[in-house]
This record gives sequence, C-alpha cells and structure tokens, in this order.
Amino acid sequence: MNSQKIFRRALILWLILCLLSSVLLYAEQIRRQFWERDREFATLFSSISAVLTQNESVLPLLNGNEDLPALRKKFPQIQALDKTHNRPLDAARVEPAGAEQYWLYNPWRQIRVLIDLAPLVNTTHTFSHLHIRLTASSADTLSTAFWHWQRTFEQHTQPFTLTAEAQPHWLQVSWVLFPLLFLCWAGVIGAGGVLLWQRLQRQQADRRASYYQHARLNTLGEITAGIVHEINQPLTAVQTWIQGAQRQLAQDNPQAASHALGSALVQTQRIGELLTRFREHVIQEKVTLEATDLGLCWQQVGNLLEHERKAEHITVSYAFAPDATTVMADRLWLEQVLHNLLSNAIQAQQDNPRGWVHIQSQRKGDRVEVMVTDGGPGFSPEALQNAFMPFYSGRKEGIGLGMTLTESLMTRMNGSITLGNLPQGGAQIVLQLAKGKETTHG
Amino acid sequence: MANVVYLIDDDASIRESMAFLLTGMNWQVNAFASIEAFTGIHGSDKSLTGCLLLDMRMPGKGGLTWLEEGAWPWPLLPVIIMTGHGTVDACRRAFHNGVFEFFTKPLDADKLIETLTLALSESERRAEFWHENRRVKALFEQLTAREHQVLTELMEGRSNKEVALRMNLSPRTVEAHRAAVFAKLGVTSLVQAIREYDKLQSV
Repeated sequence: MNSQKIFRRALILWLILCLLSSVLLYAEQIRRQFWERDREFATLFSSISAVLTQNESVLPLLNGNEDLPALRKKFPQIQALDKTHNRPLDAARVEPAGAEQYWLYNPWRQIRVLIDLAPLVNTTHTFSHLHIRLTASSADTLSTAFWHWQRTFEQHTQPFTLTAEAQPHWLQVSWVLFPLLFLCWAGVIGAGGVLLWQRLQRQQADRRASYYQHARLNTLGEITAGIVHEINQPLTAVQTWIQGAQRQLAQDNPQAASHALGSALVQTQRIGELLTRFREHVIQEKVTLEATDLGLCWQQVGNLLEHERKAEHITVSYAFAPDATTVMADRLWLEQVLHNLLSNAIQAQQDNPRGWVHIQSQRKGDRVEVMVTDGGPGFSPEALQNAFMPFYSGRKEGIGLGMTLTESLMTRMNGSITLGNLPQGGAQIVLQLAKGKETTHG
Repeated sequence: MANVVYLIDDDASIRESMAFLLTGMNWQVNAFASIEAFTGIHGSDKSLTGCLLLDMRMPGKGGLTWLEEGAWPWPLLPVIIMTGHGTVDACRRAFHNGVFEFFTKPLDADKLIETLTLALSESERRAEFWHENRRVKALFEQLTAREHQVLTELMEGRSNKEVALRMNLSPRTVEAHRAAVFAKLGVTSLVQAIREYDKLQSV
C-alpha cells in the first residue's frame, strides 16, 4: 500500500467522521434548546399554579369588606372585590372577563374577586405563542410550530390549561464548535495515518532487505550451478579416460593407456582454462586508490545501518586521531569493508541488550591503523583460523563469503586485516592502509 | 549378437572418452552428438538391441524430455541416463519413464561397465522373448476362425464331445479341427498348445 492510497483512505474516513459527528453535534444543540424551553414552561406553569392555589385558599377567608389596596399588596393578581346577591351554590365558579381575566365566585359568602393573570402570562418569554385557556373547551388550533406544550392546572375550581408553542432557532447554534471538531478528527486521523505509514514503511524495508538477501543467494546459486556444470563435463571425461587407461594397462596395452592419459591431460587443461575465465569474469576493473576520509566513510556506513531494527540497541562510537583521518583506498570498497565489519559486530550482539561498537584510528609511520572493537563474544579459535576461508560462517544462516570478500578487498587496496580478541572478550579487528595524499594506481 | 552401446551426448570429450573406455570392453560404441542424429539413423528400426547411454541435459532436446514424449519406439533397448544435475525429481521422472539406471556425472567407470553388462543382457533377454513372441504369433495367425474357436473351447477344459455339443458339430469334425490345430502349431498335445498360447498372452 503506498502513501497516496493511505492518504485517500484517511481523507474519506475523515469526511465520514466529520459528517456523522456534525449531525450529532447539531442534533444535540437543538435538543439543548428544547430543554431550555421545557424548563421555562415548567417554571411558568408552577408560578401560575402557585397563584391559583393562593386564590383558592384566600377566597374562603374573604367577606367582601376588606381593603382592596391592602389585599393587593399581598395578592397583586386580585383586581377587584365584589359582593354578589343570590348567586346559586351550583352556579359556575369562574366567569371569564377578558383574555387573562376572570371572576372567581364564592357563593357561600356571596362574594367574587376579579383575578388578572396577564402579568404572569405576559412576562418576557421565548415562546412563539403562549396562552392560558380559562374555559374547558378544547378548541385547539393546529399550528405549524415545531414544539408544543399543553398542561392543565390541578386546582379544581380553576381548571385552566396552559399551552405554549415554540420554533427551534435552527441557525442559532454555536458554529465555532464544528471547525474545532473537524480539526480534532483531522488530528486523530493524521496521527493514526502517520503511525500506520511508519509501520508499513518498516515492513517494506524488512521485506526489501530479505528480498535482497534472497536475490543474492539465488544469484550465488545460479553462478555456482553454472560453474559446476561447466567443470563437470571435462571432469567426467577425465575420470573416464583415466579409468579406461587403467583397464588398458591391466590388459597390457600401454599404448592405448598413454593415449588415454594424454586425452585426460587435455581435459584438465580445459578445466584450468575455465577457471581462469571465471576469475577474469569476477575481477574486471582496475583499482584506483585515492585519499579517502575515514570519518565520511564511517558516517555513510552508519547511515546505511541506522534504520535497521536489529541495530537499534547497539551504541556506535568512533575516535579518529587527527593525523590519521585519511587513508589510501577506494571509497566504495572501504565502505563495503566497514559495512561488513559493523554488521558482523551487530549480528554478534543480538542477544546483548547493551551492545557497542567502537572504531578508532591511529598513525603508524606512513600507514594508518584502523581498529574496530565490539562487545560481543569475540571469535572462537576455530573462527580465527577459518574466518577468511570461502563458505566458512560462524552463523547457521550465513553464506560465509563476507569476511572472504573483506580480506580480498583489503588486499587489493594494498592493506591488511588482522583478526583478534579483546582481553575482556570482544572481537578486535585491525585494518592497515597506506596513509597519503597523492593519487596512485594499484 | 553384437553388443552395441548407443551413446548420445553433446560434449565431444565425453563421447571420445566413453568410446575409448567401452571399446576396451569389446563393445561396439555408436556415438551421437544429439537425439536428432540418433533418430535419423535408427528411428525406424523397432528391433534395435543393445543399450542407450543418454545425457539428460543437452542443447535442443534433452534426454529426459525425449523419454517423456510418449511411447518408447525401441522396446528392446534399455536406457541409462547420465546427468551432471542429479536431482531427486529428475531421478524420479527418469524411473517413471522406465529407464534402466540413473547416473550422475562424473560417473565411475567400473559401475558403468557393470550396469552396461546388465543392460546388454537385459536387452538380449528382451530380444529373445520378443522373437519367441513373434514366432508364436505367426503360428497362431495360421489358424482359421473355426479352429481358433475350437482351441479356445478345448483350453477351457472341455472334452471333444462337449465341444461338439456346444458348437453344434459332430465329434468327428471337432477331432479333425483339433488335429489341424496341432499340426499347424507343431505340437502333439493340448498341454503344449496351451504353453505356446501362454507365451502369446504374456507380452
């Protein structure tokens, strides 16, 4: 999966998340508006309800001769106080006198009071419509409002109904939250994408490394198979000639045997020529040695191995003497040598959580000595003997050509390599190269 | 019978050295540089005897591919495969196609000679068998359909009378057929006739 694909997926995911969450956020804000209205309606209802209860409780105590201003100080809803005559006991107790005004009768005492609910109902509110219905008639007007409230008071002489309607403020939501939310999602998805991308990168790097390893092994296998095939034919012929000659000798036929041996010799020469040709294939170009900066080479090698996961726990340090920073070498070859040594040191310290590799250089006359040491187990006596032999490897999965190549590269750069062990057990590899400024050809 | 070894290998050095070695054994060696050269000369000769030494990998057609092409046209010729790439798979394929032996190069001359001796005697045995088979086949081809029928019934173990009854013939006629069959096959008893018949069956 490439980065473009990841980016496209992240973008789609981000859009979906933004859409869903903004719908939810909007709905939540509208719901909050509803709650506010609902609470307002409840508050209004309970305040009116309190007034109605006052009315019911004060009316039986009045006798019609009270002082109205004094009464209104305590009960501002009472507008007037009247006496009635011969009002039957079963007559209506409430008689509407206006939109929010009504007469409340007390037939036992033959009095009535004029109650005005207008100040209560007409307080500032946020409803599009607020109405108190004094009669029990259910003439409900259908309205187009979004929210409706309707609630009847429980006072049995004043069974009024309070109705309210309101329209949500569709556009009065806090818009600033939305971009914030989008930014949040972008942050989350971006972080996730980066993590995923890094993991993919790492996997790809691992895969590439193992692919190169395989490719190298395959090439090696092909070359080997080719060499084996080329040499096998003359070898078979030689063996057949010689065994034929033996038989002829046993039959006392020395002339035929001599002819056979001559033919066998021709075949061995053919093998020799084949080998010479292979070697010419392998060693093609002339070497050009030039002054090479050790520090730069080492840095390059360090860069190559920096991203390898196996090398994460290894501490790499260097100390190049000021008069021993340049050597006569081929830069790529020297890098190859240092790379081999460093990766060997890393391989040897896979089980060591605090591994280290140290490289240092010092001048020895007209030569520079480069010493690579590590904190691994060092070379076994057997490895010290055989390390430069082709196909010898201390590791089970190793091919055994790394150190061979290292040695032949050092030799071709007019240098030398010496293997040894530190007194405390790590490997110690000493390279010697000519120190110089002018360019020579070797 | 002359012991002939046919050798197919693209490498001249192998051909020469093998020819030298095997000529020393008083065998006649016919070497070919490719399969086409061999089939060009011996392609139509079904009764070829001797032994074929075949290289597995050659430019053009390889030995193993050739063996896998279909029915082997030389039933009397054992094949010995030589190869420088002796994988188990190649070996399995070779034996699946009825090769006599499988050698990896470089090969040991003593073992090769030993195996060639065996292969040549195997070829001889096959040839003998094949000739005998041809002879018997020719004999049986002389019989008429009626005689063949009578002989088959007799070989089932029935008497002349029973055969006559089953075939709606008189016993005398059956006897006459029986005598004719014996004369044509050159045998004097039913047991001998059955033995000849067996040779025909076991091809």
